[in-house]
Amino acid sequence: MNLLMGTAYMLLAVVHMFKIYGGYDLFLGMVLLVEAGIYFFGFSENPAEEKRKYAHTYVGGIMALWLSIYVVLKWLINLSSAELKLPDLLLIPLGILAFVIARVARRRILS
Amino acid sequence: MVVVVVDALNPEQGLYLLLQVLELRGDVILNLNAVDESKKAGVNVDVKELSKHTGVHVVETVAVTGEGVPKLLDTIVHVYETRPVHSPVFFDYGEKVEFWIQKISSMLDCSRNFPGRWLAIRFIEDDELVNRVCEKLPSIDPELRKELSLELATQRHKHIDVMIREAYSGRNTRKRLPLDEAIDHVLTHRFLGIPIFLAIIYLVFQLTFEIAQPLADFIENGITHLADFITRSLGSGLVSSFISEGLVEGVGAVLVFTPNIFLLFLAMGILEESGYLPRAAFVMDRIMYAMKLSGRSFVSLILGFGCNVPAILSTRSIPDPKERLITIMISPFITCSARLPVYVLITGIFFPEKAGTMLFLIYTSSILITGISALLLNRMLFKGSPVPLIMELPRYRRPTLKGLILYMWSKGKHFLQKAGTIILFASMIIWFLSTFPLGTSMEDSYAATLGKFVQPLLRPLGYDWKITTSLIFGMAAKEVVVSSLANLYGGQGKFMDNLARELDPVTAFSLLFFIMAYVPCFATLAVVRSETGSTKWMIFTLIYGLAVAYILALMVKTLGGLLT
Amino acid sequence: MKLSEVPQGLRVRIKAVNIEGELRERILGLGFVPGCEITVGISAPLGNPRMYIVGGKMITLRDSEANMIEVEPVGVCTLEETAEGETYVVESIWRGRNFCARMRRMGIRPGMVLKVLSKHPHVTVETIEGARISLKHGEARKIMVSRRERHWQ
Repeated sequence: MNLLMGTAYMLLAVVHMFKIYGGYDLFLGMVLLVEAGIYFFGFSENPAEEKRKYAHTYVGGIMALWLSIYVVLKWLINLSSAELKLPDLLLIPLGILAFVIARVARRRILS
Repeated sequence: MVVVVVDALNPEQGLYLLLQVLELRGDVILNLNAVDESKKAGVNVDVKELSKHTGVHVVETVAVTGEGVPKLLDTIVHVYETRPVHSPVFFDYGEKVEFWIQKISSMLDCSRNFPGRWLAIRFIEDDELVNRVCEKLPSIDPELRKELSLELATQRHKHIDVMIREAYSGRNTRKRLPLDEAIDHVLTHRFLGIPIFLAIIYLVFQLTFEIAQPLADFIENGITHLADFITRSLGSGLVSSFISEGLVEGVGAVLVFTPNIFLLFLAMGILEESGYLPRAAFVMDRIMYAMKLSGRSFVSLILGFGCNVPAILSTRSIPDPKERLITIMISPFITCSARLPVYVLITGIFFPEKAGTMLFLIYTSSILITGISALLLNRMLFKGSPVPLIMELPRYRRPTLKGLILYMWSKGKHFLQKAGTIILFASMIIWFLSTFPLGTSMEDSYAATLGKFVQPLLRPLGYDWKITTSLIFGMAAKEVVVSSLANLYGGQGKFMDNLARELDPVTAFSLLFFIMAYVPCFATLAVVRSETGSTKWMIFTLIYGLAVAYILALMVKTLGGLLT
Repeated sequence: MKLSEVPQGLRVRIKAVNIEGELRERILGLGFVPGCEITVGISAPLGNPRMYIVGGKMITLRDSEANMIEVEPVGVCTLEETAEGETYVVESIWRGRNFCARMRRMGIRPGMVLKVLSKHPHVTVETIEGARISLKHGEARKIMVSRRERHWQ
């Protein structure tokens, strides 16, 4: 799961950083890169220590939700001028998905 | 009467404070807070048992929901009215310590009405206060004092251990919550810790400046329209000019900040209530230690790149007063976004090809000066001792909406009340200086006269009276420098050519540095005053900034003169 | 042993607090009192401030302060003294470069987690990867292990 989410955010980060397919914000790209990093480091965690992997999934999910909220806010405030670009459009459901996964990870950590 | 608030889940430190307070007085209430969290974690507290051990009333509350607060208030009234006459519960600190407490309290000669036992304990623990309230102090062997104070702390902790063992049951409070461990693992991760911090700060930055900007623009537009409306309806007399340009624009200058300030505090509230802020300080501490500061000031300084006002306001989260003061004093050197238009204008005119490099130079030197100032101020004010980083990392919590709104409102209100009045006052002065004497153009206004008067001071730097006047106007807000330069150098369209003709590149470059460092804007000065609580520090910031700017500009000018 | 030198995850008992001045009372009040046991928590990304778990609270200390606190490790013992079925962390390997090198070749290095399977006739341990290593009693006596409370980082 970490690998999957990491790759998704990595792709979005690349889109933003190289300004392709409607990407536009270098810095947002870097933030997404960090987000991908959280998942990737979770993936590279020792397989024997499952809880550490879940820790990365959990924190990554919360960060992802905040990122989605940020994107929605930015879109709302510029409602009149800017249409929702493709990477942002993907970021919103991805953040919600990440958060749902984070809830599962949370239960695993607590158990 | 004293109410000691104790965290129900980690009571040790709070109980330690309670024991210290009980040494002084008996009319104490113990408030066990956050009992919802301890219940959720599976910890049971026997309130009666705690009350029996400490001899005080114990009230359980949940501050975030307000649960138990009425009962706490009732208990406060009850204790106040009944005034317990019995002396506080006596905690035995062991034979040796008690012997010395007896001995010292008989030797202490104190005019004020403090319990002898308490004074003796404070004396053993080397408290400054005892020196102030007592005339005659016994001499004591420093080794013995050290031994006794250690024993005191040990005994207090022993008493607390007993209390917790008897009153607490269920889950071991000494074990950390698994979720906290998991979050800490990622947020302070060896490779991820710093990138995550920077990403979060970037989002806060965006929230405060990007998302607030349309709101701020909206307010600014409204103010402009209002001013226009007043001018149109009242004619162009002095009264209308005063109301529209002095009063309304002055209020506008305050209001324009409001969205930024409130959103900043919303973001800071989320970071603080969730418990991330101390972790951020923990993660960044090593870097700030080089400046003899702690990681706490890093967040504030970063915010300064947007605007110095929220940067200084955010120093509230720094608990150490020394560190807070230094952070406030050095914040103005961080290049805020209002300075950018001035930089862009000047680099655009004089160094069109190398504008990017010049901007980079300015930004890096602004960071450098901030660091050097931190060290310098530390040496000057606190003799170079670094700020310690001893802090308790709180549990992670989900911020509540109520808490956030309260946080945002109380801190935002403070800005409006304290800084707002000063900004308003300052913009009136600027209005006065640029309008009077009546019926003259800007070149003959008091401001211009003032500029001409001050100009000899700036002559070594090669600035004429027009630049000097613009700099004076720039005190209202740095971006005003651009419009005043435009006015004084022949109006829109022509002033760029005029500037390029009258200034040589070296002078222009030194001007960049001067603008970077000289007087922060009035708003910043106002918050320096309201946050430090003294005019002294505001004046200090002013003079220090001017001195640094002058020296820097002179250096650039001389070096530039040599090189070209 | 200085508190700042203690590896992460170890439990230590405080022997002395040699800090002077106003910081002293603060540190004592936080629970850094001789005789108390604390656990060394994770360190900041750049290594310097570290978390210490005192009671249930997490307190951060810079190495400059932790330097002045004398401690002794709790719960460190030789592999020979361990109980069967329990999990331990290798803290250090005693004496002799040859011995250390041989242990490393066998797959035992400081910081690794291992489980003691049986102690007779040889001390048999299982690594986290699942490999089984058999050690003579004399060898087991030269390996210091501790029981780690935290497995984070």
